[in-house]
Amino acid sequence: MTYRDAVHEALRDALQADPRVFLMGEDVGRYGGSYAVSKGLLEEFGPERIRDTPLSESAFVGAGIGAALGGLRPIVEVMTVNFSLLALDQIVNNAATLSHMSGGQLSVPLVIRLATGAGRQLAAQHSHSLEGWYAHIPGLRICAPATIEDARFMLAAALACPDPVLLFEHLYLYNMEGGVPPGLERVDLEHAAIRRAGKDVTLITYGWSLYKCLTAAEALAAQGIEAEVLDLRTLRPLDDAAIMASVRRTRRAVIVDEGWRSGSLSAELTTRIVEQAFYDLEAPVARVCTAEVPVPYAKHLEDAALPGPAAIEAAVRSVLARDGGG
Amino acid sequence: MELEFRLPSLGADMESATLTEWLKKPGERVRHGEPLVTVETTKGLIDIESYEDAEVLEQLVQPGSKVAVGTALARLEVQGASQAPPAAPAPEATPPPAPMGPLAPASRPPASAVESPGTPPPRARISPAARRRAQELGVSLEELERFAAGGFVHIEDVEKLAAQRPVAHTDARGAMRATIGAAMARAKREIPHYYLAHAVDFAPAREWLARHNATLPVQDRLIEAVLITKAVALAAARIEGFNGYFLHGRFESSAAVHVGAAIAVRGGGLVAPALLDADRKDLPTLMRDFSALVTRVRAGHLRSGEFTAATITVTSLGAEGVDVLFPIINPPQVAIVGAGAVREQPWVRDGELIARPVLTLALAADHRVTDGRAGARLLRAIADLLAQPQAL
Amino acid sequence: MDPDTLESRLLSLLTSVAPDIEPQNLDPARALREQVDFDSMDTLHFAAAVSKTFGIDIAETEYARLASLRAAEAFVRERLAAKG
Repeated sequence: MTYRDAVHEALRDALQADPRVFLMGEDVGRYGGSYAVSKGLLEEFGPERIRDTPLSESAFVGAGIGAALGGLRPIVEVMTVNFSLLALDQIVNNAATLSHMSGGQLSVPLVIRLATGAGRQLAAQHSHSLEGWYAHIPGLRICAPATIEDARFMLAAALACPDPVLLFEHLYLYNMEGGVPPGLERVDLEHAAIRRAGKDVTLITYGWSLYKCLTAAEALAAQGIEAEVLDLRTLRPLDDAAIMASVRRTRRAVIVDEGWRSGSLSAELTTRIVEQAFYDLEAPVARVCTAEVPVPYAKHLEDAALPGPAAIEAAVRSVLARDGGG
Repeated sequence: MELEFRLPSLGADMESATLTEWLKKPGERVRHGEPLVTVETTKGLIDIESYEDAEVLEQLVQPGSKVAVGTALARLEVQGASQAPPAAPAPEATPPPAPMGPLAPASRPPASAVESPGTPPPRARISPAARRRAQELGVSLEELERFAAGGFVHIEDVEKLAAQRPVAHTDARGAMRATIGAAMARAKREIPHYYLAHAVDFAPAREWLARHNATLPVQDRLIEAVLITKAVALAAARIEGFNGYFLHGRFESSAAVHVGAAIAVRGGGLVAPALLDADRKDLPTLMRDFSALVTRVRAGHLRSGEFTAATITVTSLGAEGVDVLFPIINPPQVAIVGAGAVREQPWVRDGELIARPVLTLALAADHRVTDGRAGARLLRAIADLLAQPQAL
Repeated sequence: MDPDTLESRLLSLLTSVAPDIEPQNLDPARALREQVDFDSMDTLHFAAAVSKTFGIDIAETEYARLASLRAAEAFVRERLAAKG
């Protein structure tokens, strides 16, 4: 099963399980989704529930909010996170606030799926990781399924959530092969997950960067360094307890985030660690982020701009160095 | 002006002491340099001197109490203007704050009137986790700062340091052994020592000493160690790079020469209190100081200033008859001179083989501060001084 | 011990210049350097005390005769006898 298959199965499950659920977005129907996630769903569920929309993010995200307020369970696909900026007003001013502004009388059980991230030479307008921006907004729940199991089961949990949930699917992961542990049928949206245990340093990450961290951890293990890899899964609200528990064990943290570092999710994580676990630290917190340029088109430049296992290894070695990396 | 008299750190490894006796009562005056209180440390009883001319207002700690370094022991009323700082630099004390920049003219707008206070000396990089562990284990920050010597301290270092600490030992001798062990381990770990040895024709010194002593009653006579100490003090004052401290990643030269005299404690152990201003005192004065120092060591009553003041050390194993003593530097000092026994040796002079009393001096010095050439100059200077003992 | 014997007077001089030794464990025949780590300063202090107490002159070259308690006793006896 690929990650793409897992998302596809999740959509089918949701559409079968609840007649209020429907999918809409650009090219989700006849084209089968720009990442081929919804291929065959139009034939199976019909045009009422698999709806192709005009190229207007503001309009169809707004329609999704309205449908959610009206009692339906819409899943809105936004082709990439870059395009979601056209719907910022709907997401930030409406979806995130209505429950609050109505004194809890209204809720917006909307799920927005967005492709995010770089690595496919899609250049600066289709490659950015802006999930950290959304993680700034109270009223939204931000999730980043990085594994096959989360791709398979996070959607159901998101649909069960009374608040708007944004699921960021890293576009590099759609072709990834893998399986779901036997017997697993649901996941939560609350907890970060340790994907590899280690005692020397905690790598805090999510999305595609998880696999770069696991690759780096493998290489580090050969050098006798045991890196723990923590997959955040949910970027808002952050699972502080899991983050601090791991950092308190290893006393060193490296944050790996495909977003830029300035004013970012990685900055937020660093601050929380300093606020909550300062006296457990043996070294300054280190970050491996995307170079502060619009993501380049050229392959070698794109590779150079993104966090990679070599940079992660170097950051780990620096925080483990005698001079503390500072 | 009222101030608090605090327990100073009297060694690289001291973090607490037990107050044993007050030497001044409330209402009594204490002069600058006069012992005020006696405390017991792993090095024995130490009389701590006042840094001020003052009146004792109140004793804050009673005899028998064990207190941490930095604890206020008494309140003092200092007379008149504030006194000059103590003559003896206290290497263990927190370094003075960096000098402030010149005051800005009052007319300047406040936003731009703030001058940069200058770059503070580099601080030891003690990890937050190490700081908390240190607190749990009762290791003081000063101890960590000294241990770090400008480097980085991790949690494992704190645990090592705590394990080395003498507090775990119940008997005084074990405690002193642990103290020496910690200081020497640190020296060997951190100081890149280089060693030089030089044989000195000691006949002139010995003959001069015999003539000098012949006319004097026993108690006024000089011993060889005093000549050697004086020669080392004068040489260290002349040749830069051996007299002072290596602190916070750099060498701080000292204008005053306080020679630490390594004195064996009976039954094992060693202390190296300072002979203050050894380069400026004549031999009889230095001898009296030395004699008094040994007496105080024997009686277990050293003074606080003596403990931390030494800027270079001399150690001798002459009495044990060995030829050369390769010493280990006592941090944060940067040099130590070891003297072996003076023995009749074959000596070639003007192509002739003769028997002479020969003293072999060995220098251990800190390669972060000087190189062998400077060290060789220091040893030659000491040898030249010993060849002219009447000039000492 | 009779406080007036020469040996006991020497012992008390010894403990006055070296208060950190345990006199009851001292072997009077053994060299002080070996037994209680006497160094040149201790020797000088002891010689000065003996010289002053008994009013005898001790040359630098004669310090070796104070090497042990017993040797010191013999030396002092000899000097006091010579003094008459």
